[in-house]
Amino acid sequence: MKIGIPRSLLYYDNYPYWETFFQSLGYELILSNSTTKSVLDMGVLACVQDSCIPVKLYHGHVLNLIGRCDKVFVPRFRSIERREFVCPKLIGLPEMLRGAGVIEDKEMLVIDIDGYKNSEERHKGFVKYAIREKKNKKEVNELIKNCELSQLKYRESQLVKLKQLENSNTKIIAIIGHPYLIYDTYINMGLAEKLKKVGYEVLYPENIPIQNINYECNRLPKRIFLSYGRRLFGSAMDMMRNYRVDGIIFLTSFGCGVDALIGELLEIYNNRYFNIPYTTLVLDEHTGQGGVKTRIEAFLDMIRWREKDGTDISPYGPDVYSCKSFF
Amino acid sequence: MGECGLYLGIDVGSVSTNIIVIDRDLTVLEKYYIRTQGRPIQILKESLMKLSSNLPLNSKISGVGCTGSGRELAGAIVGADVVKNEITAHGIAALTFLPDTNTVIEIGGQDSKIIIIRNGIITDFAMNTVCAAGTGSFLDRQASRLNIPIDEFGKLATESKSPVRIAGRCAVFAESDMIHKQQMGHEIADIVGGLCIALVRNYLNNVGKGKKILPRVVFQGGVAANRGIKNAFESMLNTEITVPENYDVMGALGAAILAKDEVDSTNSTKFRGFARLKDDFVSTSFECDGCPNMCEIVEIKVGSQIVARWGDRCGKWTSAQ
Repeated sequence: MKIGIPRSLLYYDNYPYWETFFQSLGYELILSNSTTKSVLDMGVLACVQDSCIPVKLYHGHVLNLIGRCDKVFVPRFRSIERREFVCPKLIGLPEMLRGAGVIEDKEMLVIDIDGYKNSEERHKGFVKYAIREKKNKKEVNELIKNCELSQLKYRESQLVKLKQLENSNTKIIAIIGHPYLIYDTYINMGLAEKLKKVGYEVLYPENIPIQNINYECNRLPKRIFLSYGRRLFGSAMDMMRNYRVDGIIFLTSFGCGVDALIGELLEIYNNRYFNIPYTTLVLDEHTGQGGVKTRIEAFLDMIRWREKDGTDISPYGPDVYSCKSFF
Repeated sequence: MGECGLYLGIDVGSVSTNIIVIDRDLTVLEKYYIRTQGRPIQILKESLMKLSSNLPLNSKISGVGCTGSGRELAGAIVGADVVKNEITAHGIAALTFLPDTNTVIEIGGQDSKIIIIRNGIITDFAMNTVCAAGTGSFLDRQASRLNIPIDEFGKLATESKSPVRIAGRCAVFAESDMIHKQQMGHEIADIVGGLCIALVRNYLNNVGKGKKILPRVVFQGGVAANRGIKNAFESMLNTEITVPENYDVMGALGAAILAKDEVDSTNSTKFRGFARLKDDFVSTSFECDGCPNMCEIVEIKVGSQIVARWGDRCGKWTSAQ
């Protein structure tokens, strides 16, 4: 069987798992094309108007797969961690697609991912599906273990970058945002490339170890119950507190509710304690690069200017600041 | 008398094209504020020709700086030494003329920005996000809808005794709210006054969100001419607002200052000269079919010679000049 996977949304975070899973079942995987203008146009046309651009893109990617595979894999993400949620739009993806007339139910392979009661239960949907296909519990357990292993390997490979950059003298800019924005180079207009071209290395939330993220989030007086919001907040706070970066670009899509909260929180803490150059870039359907370019240019000018003047933050360590009494 | 070196600053914005000429001591010799009217190339050429005939005979342009959303276009046509973003240009200009500036509020045709300056350094900035609600072009539109010349718009707002509340979040919402209020029989002055307050409220909530606005606050950009907006800022921030003498061309001024700095270190200018402006500049655009991105490429030509190209993501056309 040919399974289509839209190269969109949480593909950018979970593909290693999915790849191992479907390949072990003997399926052939077809990925939708990287985002292009036509994918964007198709998605915008198909999707409800008020949605955010990543969800619109998802519609485009599904349309891109139609006719090229037997079924399109549409995961239903409810929760990936205990007592946490993901964005409500992700929970309703299959229904949104059906409602928009993009795809029929029988063309979709929907697997529920719900670890709200217990994180381990997030595999349950996959187990159920695999047992139906393979009918052997032992084999299936083995398979899920392998899936987790590939995901873990991917996570670990992401951490190497932090180590590399720690030992180099290059200037580093953090791009903080949801995986589907920061890794989709079409919709973010090649932001990382633009920064690299002028000599900056880029650090992403995924480059920060999970322990550090947990440490930061646990210091908050309240739980962030949105898994990806948690990752963005924790990683950015870790980068700020340890002065790992020379500037932070918060990348968000217009109308994102999760980011509205997280971005604001980060900006407040940054202004209060760290004072690292910080800016927010908002993405939508715009293909004109002028707006983004102007903002990046000005942001880099500001960083250089602050450095040149030496008013920039201290060379080292949180101890220089009274960050001990944080929060 | 020998040649005196002059510096040209050009700010091609969405609504206005501003041109300024300064000398080495940063004295403003010529200043143009022209409406772009959607034809940046033609307007730029015409104004520069007019400018060249007004300059003293022995003058020589030693450096050119371009800024604004049309800066690349202007830079390609004129031959610029510096092509800089508006934020840096506005910040530099404010700092040069008012060194004790701590906050710059700039509201232009399509952009509104806040620049936070501490100890003479830009330390933070913000710009309006993807939409252009609450900027000059919106005021422009409302002025023409109410049939009031934009120059009198601000004065009218100051005459308002009890400004009505207008929804300022989005231009489309604001317009429908304004029409409702107008149909209910409110005075125009009160509606206009309310609009100014709504705009400022939106600016402070949106662009100025979370920023510490310390005095001295400098208000520049075309909208600074509007007394109503300035008053609304003053009452809402509870501080005095400074509108610099050349508030409407501060971006161009900043570009000229940056050009002077650049030329001081390179000792040569890329300015193509006024004579070359008579050339026929043609800008065409086409969709590249090299990959599925189908970028819209803009090409600026003089005769058959390509001066500049941009718009591609991969750099294939930009580099092939």
